[in-house]
Amino acid sequence: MKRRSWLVRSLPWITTLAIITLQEILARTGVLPNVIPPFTETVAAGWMMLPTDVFLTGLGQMLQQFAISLALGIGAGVVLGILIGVAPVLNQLFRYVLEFLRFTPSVVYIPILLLLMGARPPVAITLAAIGSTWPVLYQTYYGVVGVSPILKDTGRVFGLSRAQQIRSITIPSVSPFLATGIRIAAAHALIIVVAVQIIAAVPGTGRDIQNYAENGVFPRMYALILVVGIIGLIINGLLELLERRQLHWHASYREKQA
Amino acid sequence: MTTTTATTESTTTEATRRRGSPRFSGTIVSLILPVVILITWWFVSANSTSPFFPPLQLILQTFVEAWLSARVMSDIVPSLTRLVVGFLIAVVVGVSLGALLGRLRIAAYALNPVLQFFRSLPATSLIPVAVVLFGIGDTPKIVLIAFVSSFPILLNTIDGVRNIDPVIEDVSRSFRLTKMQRLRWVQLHAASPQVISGMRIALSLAFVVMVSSEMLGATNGMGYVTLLAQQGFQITLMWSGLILLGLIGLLVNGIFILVERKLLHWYTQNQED
Repeated sequence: MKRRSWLVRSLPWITTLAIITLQEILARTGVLPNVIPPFTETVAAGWMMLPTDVFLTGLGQMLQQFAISLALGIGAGVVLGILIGVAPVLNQLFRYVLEFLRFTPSVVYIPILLLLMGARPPVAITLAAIGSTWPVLYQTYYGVVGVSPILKDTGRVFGLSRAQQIRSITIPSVSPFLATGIRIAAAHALIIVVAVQIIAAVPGTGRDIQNYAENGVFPRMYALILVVGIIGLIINGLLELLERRQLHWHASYREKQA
Repeated sequence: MTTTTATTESTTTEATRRRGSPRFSGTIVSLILPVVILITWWFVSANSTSPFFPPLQLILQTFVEAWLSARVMSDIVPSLTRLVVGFLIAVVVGVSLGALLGRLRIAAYALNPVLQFFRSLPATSLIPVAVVLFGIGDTPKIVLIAFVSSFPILLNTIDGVRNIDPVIEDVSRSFRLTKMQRLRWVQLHAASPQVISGMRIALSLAFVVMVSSEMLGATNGMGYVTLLAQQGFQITLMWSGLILLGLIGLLVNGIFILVERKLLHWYTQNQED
């Protein structure tokens, strides 16, 4: 019984290894076209690249642009979300404008920003900040609007001050929504940063991927994509961890622990 | 968490709509700002000599001349075809694989690391790969759009199919529904709110990938023309391209919301009780 559970638990890793091995075999036997190198070759290329300046600078720039834009996007999203949440007039007034902007993916603005700023990091930062504003904005708004009226009344009956109401009622009600918003925003920000780097040759890992693709250095291209994917996984994991820490009291997390 | 988002969204919009004054006057208030912006843009830019900010009148003229003629067939239709075909493939693959994996728990569990990796991988980093593998025609774009947008649908379908109320399952079994009937009328139906919220994520992803892949390796399409216009310093054409892409984004999402409302009518109604 015990051995079986061990086997079951390692099943995801066994499957993953099997898929990687299959890819390796298919690539080595020439079933896959030679623009798809075997997995070991990709990893070896990545390993060789790890300590190089090109790799580290690119990675640093990508992460920097990502972090700045996400911070800006979260800030703007929370402020705007609260504003349209507490003032229905503002919500009514800005509705169509916000909706137009939200449904236009921010990569659309690449040309105009390239024109105004040139192919430099601010282009990526601005666009990713805009792109990550919308999920945070709308989640904050839903959170603020959705605060249960019973809770609000209870707070008033207990004579909580305005600050206490915000601290013990509004923030806990909004934060689960905000957490979801931030997770979506982070994914958007990374997608946009990479897109700008690839399309406009703004410095960063995205540009390096495109460089290797154009010069036919495919193992390196795939190695960098692997790195970007792992970065995506780490960001997701960190945000989930943070969410669990901050929202351990929330129903959806209590169930999981039980 | 995705489901919470979807449900709260629909209920709050319903609630605000009913709480506010009659819908008509609300719409008028919402129209004020867009109209003010357009009028201001029109008059402020009217005498503009700045090469970057041409008069709105010129932009709109270019919009009509450039986009509402030959480019409909040469650029707008190809772009939309890529988007729609890619998205539909993702829906079919995502829903059917998701329903399968949602039933075969062990398979979903075994494939989890691979699925999570591709879900977390920023979709746009695969654009160079698509160009390397399939060149610069329609195929790389459709394949890429289909590939990246199938993951949110797939993962949401797995979740949705899995979290069905066991009582409903028992009832449908005691009514002796066949496996196919149960899949179609019970499991997929119960999972549909989550499936559709996955589709919504997939659609925005598909749009981003469509535009960016046309900006990188393409010979036509709205993204291609808009970026090329900037590089060729045809600034009015570039602005008109931006407006077009904005309008198309609005249109595509609008259609999706209409379909969603129709499909999930029963769901939003239940939520209101």
